[in-house]
Amino acid sequence: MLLILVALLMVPFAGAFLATPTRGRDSDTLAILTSGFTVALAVMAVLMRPRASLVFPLYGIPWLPQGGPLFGLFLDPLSSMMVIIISVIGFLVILYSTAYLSPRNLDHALADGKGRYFLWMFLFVGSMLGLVLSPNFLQMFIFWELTSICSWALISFYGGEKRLAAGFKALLLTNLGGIGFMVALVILYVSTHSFAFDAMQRLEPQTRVTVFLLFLLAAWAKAAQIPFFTWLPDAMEAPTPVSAYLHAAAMVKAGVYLIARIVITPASLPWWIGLVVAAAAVLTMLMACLLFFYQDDLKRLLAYSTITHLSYILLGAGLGILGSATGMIGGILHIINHAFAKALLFLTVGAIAYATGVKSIRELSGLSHRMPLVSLAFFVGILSVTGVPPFSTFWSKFFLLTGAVDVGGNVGLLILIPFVLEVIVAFAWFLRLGQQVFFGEVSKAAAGASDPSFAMSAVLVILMVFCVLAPFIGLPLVHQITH
Amino acid sequence: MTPIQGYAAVILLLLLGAFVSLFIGRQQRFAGYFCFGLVLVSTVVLGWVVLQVYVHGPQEARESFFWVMGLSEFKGEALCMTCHSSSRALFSVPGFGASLILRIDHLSGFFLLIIAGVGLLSSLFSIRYMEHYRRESLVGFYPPFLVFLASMIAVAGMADLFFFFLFWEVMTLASYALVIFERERQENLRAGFKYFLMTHAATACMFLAGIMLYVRGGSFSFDVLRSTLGQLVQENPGLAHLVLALFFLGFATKAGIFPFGDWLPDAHPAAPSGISALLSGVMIKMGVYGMLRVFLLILPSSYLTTTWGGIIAFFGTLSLFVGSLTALYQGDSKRLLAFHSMGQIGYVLLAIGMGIAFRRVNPAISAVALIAGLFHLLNHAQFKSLLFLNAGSLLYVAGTRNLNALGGLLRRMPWTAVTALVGGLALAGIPPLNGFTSKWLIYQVTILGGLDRPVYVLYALLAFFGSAVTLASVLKFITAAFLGHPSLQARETVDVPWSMRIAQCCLGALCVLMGLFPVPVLRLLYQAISPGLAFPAYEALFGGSIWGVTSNLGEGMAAAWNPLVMVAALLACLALSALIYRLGAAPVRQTALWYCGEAHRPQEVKFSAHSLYLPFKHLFSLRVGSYEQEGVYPVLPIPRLKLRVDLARAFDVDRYLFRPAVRWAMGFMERFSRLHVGIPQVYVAWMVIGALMAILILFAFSRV
Repeated sequence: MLLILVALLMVPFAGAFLATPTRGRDSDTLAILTSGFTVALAVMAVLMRPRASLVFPLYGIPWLPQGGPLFGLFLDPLSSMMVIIISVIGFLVILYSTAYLSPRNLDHALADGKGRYFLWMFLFVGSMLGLVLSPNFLQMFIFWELTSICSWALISFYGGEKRLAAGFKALLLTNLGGIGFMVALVILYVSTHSFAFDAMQRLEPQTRVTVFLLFLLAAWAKAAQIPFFTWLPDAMEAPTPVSAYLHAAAMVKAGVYLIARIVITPASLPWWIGLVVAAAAVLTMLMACLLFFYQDDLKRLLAYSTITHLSYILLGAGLGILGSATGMIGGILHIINHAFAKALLFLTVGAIAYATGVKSIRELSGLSHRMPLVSLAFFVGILSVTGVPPFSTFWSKFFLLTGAVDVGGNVGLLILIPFVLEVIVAFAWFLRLGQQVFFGEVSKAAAGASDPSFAMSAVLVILMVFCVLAPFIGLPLVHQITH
Repeated sequence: MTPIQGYAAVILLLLLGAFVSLFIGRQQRFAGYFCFGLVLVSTVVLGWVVLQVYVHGPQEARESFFWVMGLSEFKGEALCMTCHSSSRALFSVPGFGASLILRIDHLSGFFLLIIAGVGLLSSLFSIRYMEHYRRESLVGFYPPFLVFLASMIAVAGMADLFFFFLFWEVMTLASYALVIFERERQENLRAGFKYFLMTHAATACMFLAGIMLYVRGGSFSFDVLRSTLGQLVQENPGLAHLVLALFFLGFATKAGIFPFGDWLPDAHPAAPSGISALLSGVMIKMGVYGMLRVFLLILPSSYLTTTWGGIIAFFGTLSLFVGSLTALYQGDSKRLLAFHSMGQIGYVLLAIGMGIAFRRVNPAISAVALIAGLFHLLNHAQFKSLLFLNAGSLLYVAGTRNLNALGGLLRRMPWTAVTALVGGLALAGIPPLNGFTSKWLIYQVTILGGLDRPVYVLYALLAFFGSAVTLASVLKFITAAFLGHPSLQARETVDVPWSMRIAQCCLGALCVLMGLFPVPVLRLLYQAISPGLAFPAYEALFGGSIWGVTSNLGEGMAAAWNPLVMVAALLACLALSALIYRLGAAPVRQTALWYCGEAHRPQEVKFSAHSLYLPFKHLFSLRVGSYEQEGVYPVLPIPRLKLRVDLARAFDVDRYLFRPAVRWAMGFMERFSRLHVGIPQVYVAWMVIGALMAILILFAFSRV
C-alpha cells in the first residue's frame, strides 16, 4: 500500500521530467501513459484503503522535532475524494490537451511547446497529489506553494505581456494567502510543537481562533473569495484545459480542502467563527452573481461561477461550524460535484474556442446546428452546475439548503434567502446563456464550427457521464468522513 | 414477478429505450415505432400493476425485490447503508433520511393509468406527426420523450419526498427539452425558458418546505412526514401554514392555474402536438397529484385542512374564470386550448379544494367532491389530449395554428372533425359525454356545499358562467377550423395518416364511453380516494344502479342522471324528426352564396374566428387608469434588466486596493533604493553609523 502511494506521488514528477525534452506525438503518448498510470494507481489506492485513515510516517528533520516523523503519506476519505478528482480530471484534461494544443486551434494555434506544457502540468498533478496526501500542515504548505508556482507558469504559458501580468498577479495574491498560512504554521508550532492536523485542538481557544483566521485568509486567497478574487478572472488567459483543471477542479480546491481538513477534525471553534465564514461566503456568492451580468467572455463568466461554487463549499464549512453536520456534508460533497461539472463546462468552451476562435457571447449564436455534441455537453454542464437533478450539484445544493434550514433562527434565514436567490438567478442566467449561444440563427463566427476531434469529444462524453455519477462516488466517501 | 418489480422494470425499460433512441434518431419512422412499442409494453405492464393494486391492495417493495433477477443473495439491505431492519427501501442516501421507497397505492395507480394511456396514444400520434418538422434527425425528440414518461411514472410511485423531488425535476427537465424542440423560433425558446424558470423556482420553494419538515422529523418518507406535519400543526401553526403555502405554490405552478401558470399559454403551443397533449393531459395533473398527496394524505385532518381546502377552491375558481374567459380571445388554436387547460384544472381544484375543506364537516360532500374532481381530471386528460391532437392534425394538414386562416376542412378531414366535435362538446360539458358527468357532480357539491358555506354558491355561479364561455369558445374553434369554405390550400391527402386517426378516435371513443357508462369509473375513483379516509359507502353516495347515478347529498335524493335513458330519448327524437323530414319530402335546391349583389370571393367575406362574440369580448376589457387591455388576463411587461456600470466598478477590488497597494510598495522601494547612491564614502558612513548603533544597543541590553 505504501508502495502504491509512493508511486502515486512519484509517477507524475517522473512524467514531468521525462516529458520536458519531448515534442509532438511523443509528448502526447508519454503524457497519456503517465496520467493513465496515475489514475490506475489512484483508483487502486482508494479501493484498497481500509475504512480508517492510513498514515505512513517517513522521516523528519532533526532541528524541527515533532514527536514523530515530519514527512510522510496519509490517506483518509477526504484525501481519497481529492485524489480521485485530481487524477481522473487530470487524465481527462491531459488527453484533451493533446488535441487542443495544435496548430489548428483557432483560438491560439500552437506549433511547439508541448514538452514545456506537460512539464508544468505534471508538476502540478504531482504537487496537488502531494498536498492531499500530506499528513500535516507543514508538508501541505510546501506542496501548496509548489501548486502556486505551477499555476503561475501555466497561466503565462502562451507568453505575452498581458498573460505574464495575469500569471504574476495570481502568484502574488495566492502568496499573500501563503504568508497567512506560514504565520499560522509558526504560531501552531511554537504553541504545540506539532504540525499535525489535530494540533489545533491543543491550542488555547484564543490562539485557535487566530490560527484558524490565518488559515482562512490563505484559503480565501487560494479559492478566490472576497477580497482576493480578482486573480481568477484574469487567470483565464491560460489555455482552456489549464483553466478547466487548475482554476476549476484542482488548484482552487486546495484552499477549500484546507478548511475542510480543519473543520472535520473536531477542533471546537466558537460559534461566531462559523458566522464569519458563512457571511464571507454569502457575500462572495452575491457579488460574483452580480458580476455575471457584466461578462461577455465565456471563460470569465465561468470564472465568476467558479467563485460562487467555492463560496458554496466554504458556506458548507461555515454551516458545519455553526452546528449543522448536513451542511458540512453538502459543502464537502460539492467539491467533487463541482469539479466534474465545471471541468465539463470549461472544456466545452475550449471546444468552442478551438473551432471558432471566439469566446464572446455576443458574437456566438446557433452553435447547436454545427456542433451538436458540444451543445449537449454544454447543456449537461449548465444543468450540472446549476443544480438540476439528476446531475451532480443537485445533491450537494440540497444538502446545503438542508444545512441552512437546520441551523435555523435568524442566521439560518439570512443565509438561506441569498442562497436560494443566487441559485435561481444563476440558473436563469446560465439557461438564457445556453439558449442564446446555441439556439437561434447561426451567427457569422459560428458558421465554420464543427464538432471536435475524437480525443476531445471522448473526454466530453466521459465527463458528462461523471456529472451524473459524481455524487455516487462522493457520498460513500463523505459518509465515511463524518462517521 | 411482483407488481412493484414490474413497475420498476417499466421505468428502467423506458430509460434504456431513451438511451438507445439517442442512436437511431435518423431512422425516424423506425424510431417512432420503436418508441411506440416500448410505450405499449409499458402500458400493458402498468395496466397489470394497477389491476393488482386495486385487487390486492397497495403494493410496496419488499426485501425480496431482487429475487427474480437471480441475484438472490443481493437482498435489499445490501444497497442500503444506514437503513433500519424494518425499512423496505431499495437504496438509502447515507447519513440522510432519504430512501428510495416505491409504493403504489390506489391514488398512484389511478394516475399511472392516465400517464400510460395518454402516453401511448401520444406516441402513436407522434410516429407520423413528427414529419411535419422536416428534420434530419429526431434525436432531440424521442430520448426526452421516453425520459419524460419514465420520470412521470416514477413520480407517481415514490413514497419518499427527496426522490419525489428528484424525479419531479427530471420531469421538468425532460419536458423543457421537448418544449424547445423547434428551437429555430425565438418565441419557443422564450416559452421554454419561462416554463423552466418558473417551475424550477416553484420547485425550489417546495424543496424548502420539504426540508423544513425533514429537519424537524428526521426523514423524508411520507409516513414520517405525516406525523411530523401533524406535530408541526400542533406546535407551530404559523410555520405549518408557511410549509403548506410553499407546497401549494410549487404544485400550483406545475398545475398551471392562474396566476401561477403564466408559463402554460406559451409553452403548450410551442411544443410538438403529441407533447402538448402529454403536457396538458398528464403533466399538469401531476401538480394536482402532488396537492392531493400533501393536503389530503400527508396533512392530518385539522382546522388547517379547512383553511387550505378553501384556498385551493378559491384559486381553482379564479383560474376557471380567467382561463375560460381568456380562451375566448385567442386566435391560435393551441393557445386557446392551453387557456382551457388552465380553466379546467381550475374546475378540478375547485372540487378537490372542497373535498379537502369539507373532510371534517361533511364527509359525504367531501367524498363526492373529491371523486368529481378526479373524474374531471380523468375526463380532461382525455378530451384535452384529443383536442391537442386535433390541433396537431390541423397543423399537419394546413401548416398553421391561426384560426383565422383555417376553414372548411370538414370535407378533407372528416375523422378529425368528428373527434374534434366530440372532444369540444366534452370540454364544454354537454351530455351525454364524459365532461358532463364530472361537471354535473361539481355543480352539485358546490351548490349543496353552499348551504353550509355560502361562498361556494358564488363559485358555482362562476362555474356555470365558465361552462357557457367554454361552449362558446369550443364552437369558435370548431367553426373556424372545419366549417365554412376551404380557405387554405390544404395538402392533397384527404386526411391525416391512419396512426394519427386511430389515436384521435380512441380518445373520442373513450369520451363517449365514459359519458355513457360513468358508473364503473365512479366506482374506480371511489376506490382511489377512500382508503384510509372515513367516507360513506359508495352506494350511500351514488346509489346502487349500474346504469346511472342518483346523488344523495341533501336530505334524500338530490339529483339523478342516467345517460342511456337520455341517449335513448335523443335517438327517439332524432328518429321522429327524420321520419317527419322524410314524410314532408321538401325539395332541396343547391345555390351559390348570396353576397348582396356584390362579386366577392368567399375568403374576403368569411366570418373569421376573430369576429365571433365581439360585443362580449369588448365587455370584458380591463381598464385601470390609463392601462387598457382586452380580456381579463393581465399582460405585464417583462422588466428589462439594466445594470449600471458603476455597480461593477464598486467591486473592482483591483482598482482601489491592490493596484494602489502595489504602487505604494513600488514607490517605497524606489525611494529606499535612492540610498544606493554609488559613492563608497556614503556606504562607509552607513557602516560606521550602523556599527555605533549596534554597540549602543548591545550596551543597553547588557545593562539590563
